[in-house]
Amino acid sequence: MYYRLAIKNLMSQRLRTFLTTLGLTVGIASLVVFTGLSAGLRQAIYTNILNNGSLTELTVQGKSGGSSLLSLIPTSQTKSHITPQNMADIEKIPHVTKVYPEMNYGNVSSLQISIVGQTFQTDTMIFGMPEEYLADTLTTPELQNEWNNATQNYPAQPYPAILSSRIIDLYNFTVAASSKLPHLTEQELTGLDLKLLPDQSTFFNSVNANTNPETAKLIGFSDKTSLIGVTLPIDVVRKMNQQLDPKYQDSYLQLYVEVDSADHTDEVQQTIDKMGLDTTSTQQQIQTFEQNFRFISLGLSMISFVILIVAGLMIANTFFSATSERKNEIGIFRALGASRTNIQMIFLTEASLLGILGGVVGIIVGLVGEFVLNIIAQKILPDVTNKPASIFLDNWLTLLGIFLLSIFLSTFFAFIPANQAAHLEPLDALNE
Amino acid sequence: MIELKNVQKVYKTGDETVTALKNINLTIQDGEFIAIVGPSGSGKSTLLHLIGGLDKISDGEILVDGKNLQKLKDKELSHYRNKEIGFVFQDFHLQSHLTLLENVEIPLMFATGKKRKEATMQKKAKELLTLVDVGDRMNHRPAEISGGQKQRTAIARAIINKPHILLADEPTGNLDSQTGKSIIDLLKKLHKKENMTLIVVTHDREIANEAERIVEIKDGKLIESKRSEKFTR
Ligand SMILES: Nc1ncnc2c1ncn2[C@@H]1O[C@H](COP(=O)(O)OP(=O)(O)O)[C@@H](O)[C@H]1O
Ligand SMILES: [Mg+2]
Repeated sequence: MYYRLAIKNLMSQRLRTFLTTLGLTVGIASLVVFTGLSAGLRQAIYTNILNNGSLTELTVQGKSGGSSLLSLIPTSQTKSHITPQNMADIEKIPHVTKVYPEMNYGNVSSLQISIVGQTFQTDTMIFGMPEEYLADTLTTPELQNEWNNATQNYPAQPYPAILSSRIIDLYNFTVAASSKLPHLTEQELTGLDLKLLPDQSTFFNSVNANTNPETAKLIGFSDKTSLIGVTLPIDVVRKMNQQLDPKYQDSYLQLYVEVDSADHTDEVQQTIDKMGLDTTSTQQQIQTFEQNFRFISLGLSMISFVILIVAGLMIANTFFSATSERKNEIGIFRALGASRTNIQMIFLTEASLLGILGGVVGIIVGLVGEFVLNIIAQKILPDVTNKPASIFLDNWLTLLGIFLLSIFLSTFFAFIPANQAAHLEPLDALNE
Repeated sequence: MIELKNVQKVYKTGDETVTALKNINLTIQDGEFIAIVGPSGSGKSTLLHLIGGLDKISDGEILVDGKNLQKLKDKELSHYRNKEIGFVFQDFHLQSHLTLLENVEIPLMFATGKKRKEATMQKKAKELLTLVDVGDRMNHRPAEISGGQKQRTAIARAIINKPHILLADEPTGNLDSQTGKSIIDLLKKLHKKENMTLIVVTHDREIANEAERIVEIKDGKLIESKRSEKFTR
């Protein structure tokens, strides 16, 4: 009966009901969109971080940033490479299951490729990593097979090579876009011949020397190899370094350390830090990301909350004016035996109905809004690797929470007016 | 039994004080039909409101079946209005956005104790609407029916919780005399059938003469409490 009465009352004041609910609907819809966006972005970023390394992996570099571009150039003095002794020490740390070294060729090189009927030459770095590690980073068993076959031929050329999958995004959105060249896909490039010209550079003339070109074949793409160069089996790079300068042959750019469980990543990381080496880990990245992301989602939620507070005040206002407009009704109800609690319940039931209405409509509007925004976003955003199907991520528990919040807010803001209505003297109300 | 002992009611509005009732002593037996008469502004409505627990007395006491109304808390007083009192007003006070049926059901909403099912509530309200002769209009709204039908609906609403005491404040004041007569007949019929105490405030001598006893008030004072002509004759 309370609900029937409340529905009748709201129906008899359709315009007011609509306007009051509108504010709530907008607030709830924006909250749905913002929480969906937060969760969606978070998911997308997680997918990206985790693609580059699992929670049981960490990367070790020499002190003062061995991975910066400048430090790779032999003339630079900032470089501090990792020694085989460092590697051996790390292998002995408890919970470390595997250590993979990455070595770079000690000088810049150039890369020549022929695609779309043209030959391109660009500066590049040459990196070397253990064959079995590289095989694992390839995306399909076919490619892994091909890789394993190709490494059997060593030391015969062409060497098997891997490029970073991001290089295609980079090419498509910079080079191809600006010079009207066709877009490329991984499939088109797989199997391509790569001509490596060690010690040749278009930017650093000083390094140019007459070294024999090496040939390689692009077996596939990986998320885990360096963006700025070609990755070959480590033995190839070690041999090239021997010829260049023996001091490079046993010095590593970085180490990939695998830990037996994510619970031990922190511990291992601290031990390596104490050895005077720099470490980065996915776990640490996620922690930093979580900290930063909390501010973003908080900021977005704040916007919704401001809208919701305004909507709440609108509801309070509606019920305050209802209290004075409906004095007669309150008086009759009191004469017919309604207690203060009954009057309060009548008002709060109406408020909770507004909350339910605003919640349901707001969530529907929010979800439709997400759908539309996602279509637009998918058109605008570039087609990058790991691009999610939707930039929004909805969770029914969050939606349920938002729905309950809607009911809570409207009931909360109606509480004082309802209390005021309940404390009207029956006769004063009746005589209105 | 309703007992009023030295009842006084003073209204304070700003600096002004209006003494609406002075030193009223009155005893009403169960099942009596009483008419309260007197000029406008003499305090008739005030008296009815005090008996019905809609207002608080300033001095004295009102006992209903031994219960001191002044000492009841809001919940108890509401329960008293809901279960023991039925109110009928001059201007009906029906809810315009509710159907007659829903209007009649309102007091059931506030009944404490065991929860009634909607269907049971509806059945009861329908029976009463049929009893007061508006059964065929029960899904209409108050705006769609005549004044007499509105008052019949209000009476059905007043008696749905089977009160002991039915209070009517000029129930015929907004009706033509013929319709007014039929409303009084209905009230009398219910009074007899259910053995309810019936207290009717009226201007109309003819109506007052239908009562078993007439109480006259002037300037807030009870000046006469006599058997009506009909009964003294
Ligand atoms: N709420 C009120 N505030 C102030 N004075 C009131 C109030 N209600 C009634 N009165 C005064 O009390 C007196 C009795 O009023 P009422 O009982 O309504 O008279 P009646 O019903 O006999 O016409 C009148 O003088 C009236 O002005
Ligand atoms: Mg009056």
